[in-house]
Amino acid sequence: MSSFTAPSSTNDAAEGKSELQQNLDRYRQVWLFSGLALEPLKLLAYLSTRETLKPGEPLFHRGELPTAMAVVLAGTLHAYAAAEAPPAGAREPDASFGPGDCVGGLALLGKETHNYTVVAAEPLSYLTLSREKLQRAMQQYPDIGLKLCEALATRVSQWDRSALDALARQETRLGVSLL
Amino acid sequence: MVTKKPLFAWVKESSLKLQLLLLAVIGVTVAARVFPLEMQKKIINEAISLKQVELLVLYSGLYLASVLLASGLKYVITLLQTSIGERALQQMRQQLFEHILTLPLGFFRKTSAGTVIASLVQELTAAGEFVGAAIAIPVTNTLTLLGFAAYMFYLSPTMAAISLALYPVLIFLLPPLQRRTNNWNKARVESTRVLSNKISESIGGIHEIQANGANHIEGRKHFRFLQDLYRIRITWTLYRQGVKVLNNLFQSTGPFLLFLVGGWLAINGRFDLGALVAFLSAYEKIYDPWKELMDFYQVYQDAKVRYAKTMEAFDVEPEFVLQPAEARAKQELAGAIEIKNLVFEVEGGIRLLNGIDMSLANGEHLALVGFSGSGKSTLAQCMGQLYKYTGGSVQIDGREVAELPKSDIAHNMGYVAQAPFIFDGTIQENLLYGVEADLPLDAPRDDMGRVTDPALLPSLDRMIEVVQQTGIFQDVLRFGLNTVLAPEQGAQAELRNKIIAIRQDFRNDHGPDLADYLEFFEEGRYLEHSSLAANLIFGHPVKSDYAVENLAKSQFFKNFLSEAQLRLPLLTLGDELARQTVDILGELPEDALFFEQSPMLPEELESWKEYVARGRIPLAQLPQEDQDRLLELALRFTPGRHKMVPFSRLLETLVLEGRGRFRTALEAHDPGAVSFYRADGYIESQPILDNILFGKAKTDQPHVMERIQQAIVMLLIEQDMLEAVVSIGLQFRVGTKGDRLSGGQKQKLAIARAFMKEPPILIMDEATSALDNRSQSRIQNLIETKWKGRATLVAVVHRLDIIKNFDQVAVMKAGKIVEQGTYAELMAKKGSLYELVHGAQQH
Ligand SMILES: Nc1ncnc2c1ncn2[C@@H]1O[C@H](COP(=O)(O)OP(=O)(O)OP(=O)(O)O)[C@@H](O)[C@H]1O
Ligand SMILES: [Mg+2]
Repeated sequence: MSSFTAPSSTNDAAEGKSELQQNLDRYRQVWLFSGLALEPLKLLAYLSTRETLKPGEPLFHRGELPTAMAVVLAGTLHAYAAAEAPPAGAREPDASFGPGDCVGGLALLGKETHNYTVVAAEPLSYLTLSREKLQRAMQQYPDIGLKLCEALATRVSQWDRSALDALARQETRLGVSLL
Repeated sequence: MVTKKPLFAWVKESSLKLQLLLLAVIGVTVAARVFPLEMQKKIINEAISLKQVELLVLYSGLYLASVLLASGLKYVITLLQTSIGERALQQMRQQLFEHILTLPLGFFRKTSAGTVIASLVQELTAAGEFVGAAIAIPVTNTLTLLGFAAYMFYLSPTMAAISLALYPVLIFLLPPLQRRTNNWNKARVESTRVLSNKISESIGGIHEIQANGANHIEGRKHFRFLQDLYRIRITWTLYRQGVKVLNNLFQSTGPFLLFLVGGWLAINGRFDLGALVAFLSAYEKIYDPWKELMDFYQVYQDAKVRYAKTMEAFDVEPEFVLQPAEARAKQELAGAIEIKNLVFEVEGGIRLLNGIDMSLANGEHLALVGFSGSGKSTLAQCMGQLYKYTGGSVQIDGREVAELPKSDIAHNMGYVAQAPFIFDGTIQENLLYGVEADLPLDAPRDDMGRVTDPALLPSLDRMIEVVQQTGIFQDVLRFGLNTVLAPEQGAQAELRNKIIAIRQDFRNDHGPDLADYLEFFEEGRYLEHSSLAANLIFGHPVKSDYAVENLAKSQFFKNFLSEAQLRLPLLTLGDELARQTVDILGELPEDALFFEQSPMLPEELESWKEYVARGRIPLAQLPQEDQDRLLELALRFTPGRHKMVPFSRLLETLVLEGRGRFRTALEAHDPGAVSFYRADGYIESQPILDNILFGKAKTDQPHVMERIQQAIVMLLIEQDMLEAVVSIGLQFRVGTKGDRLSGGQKQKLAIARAFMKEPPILIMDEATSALDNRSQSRIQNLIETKWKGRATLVAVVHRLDIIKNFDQVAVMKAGKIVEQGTYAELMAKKGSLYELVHGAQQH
């Protein structure tokens, strides 16, 4: 039960910051939104809602159409390249995400289905923005689309570079479609 | 075609009766205008000079009567003129609108909705005005002019000749002056544009200007342009005023000649005094009809140009006929499609489709796949008679699609567009849109074109069946559950009782499971997902004075707020909510989606913007009206949903304390005015869902809502209430363009709308692209079990996991079909489809 009252970081609450302001502070640190002007970013923060997941509950499944992006506030998400997540602890996840990480933003710009199943590994609280709302916001600030594309291009290029390094060390790098 | 109609055709077409009436009234009016002049003469010559009081009274009376009559008739003329004009305008708009609806889709690629709106709404008004005036103004004024002139000749031919001699001079002088005025006006517009560009440049480069301290340079440039504008504006004004002065000059020098000549004649006894006065009046009055004629000429010019431009813009032939030439029953087609060497060429000689061949037996299913932009939608649109192909043929049952009337195509085809459009109205209205359009034109219909005879329409059972098949059932059910029952719906008393019964079962069966997601209406707790008003009242208003929208105006409630020390905190809260919302949404359109997370309603935004623009004023000093509005906003505040302001512990405590106080105070003041939340009572102000939950859901995340709804569906079925709630849900209003529906819901509704017709041919252009997997497979199943063999299906498909069971798969590339066959064949061939499938999987 306690996991369901969205954990607001105590500092912010004490300062009397509204949840919107806290969301905005978060979003200003998310790489996907870097480059956005304050007004559109404020709109996105305002349109986002805080949600929670219990351990084991899925954020989305492989093969599903992306409907929302998520920014982790507290807790951990595990991604598996499978239709269902294995039982907790059965195997290492293919990728994992912690506070401040953004999951599923790239997917919102395209029409492809998810390649991974993503579940909460611990009690999770996250900020989520639906495709519908993002699109409506983009219609108002067309610049949003452009900036997201720029941020993604940068990120994909960085990813590729790090993948090359990883290749040299014979590690695998998975999960670019989760960006 | 309406666009070929000359402007004058509308004058001819306008009601003959009205026009004749108008002419008759004009005749009398002209007489009534000239008559007072004669009276004037008689008053001076007969009554005054002969000192006859009775005559004086008689003539003055007649004078007054004719002046009154003339004014009255003038009013009648205006009325007639307006009604003729407005009727013509109405006809013009309607006919043009109907014409525009038939124009080829390609036309709308180039013409924006804004252009169409401007044409229909603004551009045509001038033409309408002209049609109204076309007879009244020229006839009235010419006749009046002639009447006055004739009267003047009757009084004194010499003097009439002298005074009217001036007018030809005017006609000679005015037009060139007017032309120059117009030229200078054009120069003025151009120069203003140049100045605007300059200003825009300066503002755009403001960083550079300030960084370089170049203010003086920009200032000088600006001044140069200002000087040009100054010169042009002065010249323009000189000419413009010149025209006026010239007119006035003639107007006032006329009497000078008349005094001189008329006086001389009068002194010599060749002209009596009364006649002179009458003559002067006539001369003065002749100017008015003259001016009106001049103005009318302007109106005519303006109307002519704008009318021609508007009609020219839409002067395009429709590509298809709407109805068969001779009345006959609609063609029933079986649905075999035969395409031969189909070519669709657009401007620039680009072939969007280039030699397509295919053949589908009736009942066969074809999946159309390929890269974005390869022409899949275009092919579907050519089959659906939305585009007219430029070469080759598309035949259905051996009939050329391009030649069939639209009514036959619509009767036999269900078309789900790639971005389906949903109209403002209820779910049910949208669901029946295709069926209603397909009913005969002469079926009884209301003003909105909706069929009024329920026997002609599908039954509720049938609608629910389709709603279920297309998977929009869950959504419709949710809309039903989220409806607040209207109080007057007395027949729903039974419904209310059943809902309360379900509430008990829900608590027992699912309460513990779902408790995490729900917030029950509990006495001692602040309800984060209910409004502040609901938290205070903790009940629903029986008397409308206590409804949230009236609460802030109730004196009793205001007194209570002050006593509970809530007034100032609530004003502050309201103020903060207003400022935050305006800050975030102030420049955005009034889109309901944006306002979901604010207590402000979209239509209130403008007035709150004004409030914020006034700056900060101590809240207690605000006008009463503003304070009431702030309170109302604060009373709607729901901390679980509205996150733009922090919700303090202090306020929470005050409200919780206030809840008990309010109850005590109200019981004493107005017992029974509010019915407090009770586990065994129906809460009128809450939707069905919240009545069942006896609380609110904490989130609207789909997976949570789904769980809650699953639990409720079982209980609804037990109480035999499912259909009742679904039929309430069918009345949900979807908002403009279906804005209150999600993308997936819109798609499902569009599919249901097409299925509702049970057509022999279905064209679905990425119809399931926004659906979740479950909805998609449901529709896929339905297509395979219900439609295979019964309806020919052409489905453009993006997600390749669903095409295995189609009879044929066609792969498109750059306007051509590069591969066609069954899924298995094509995969075995390892050609384009194989590449597409595996390419798609590698991402
Ligand atoms: N009437 C027209 N005039 C000019 N160009 C057009 C016209 N109709 C479509 N096009 C263009 O033709 C191309 C093919 O469009 P079409 O919509 O058929 O592709 P598609 O295969 O359905 O692609 P998608 O998968 O993106 O829906 C596009 O580039 C489109 O902009
Ligand atoms: Mg398409």
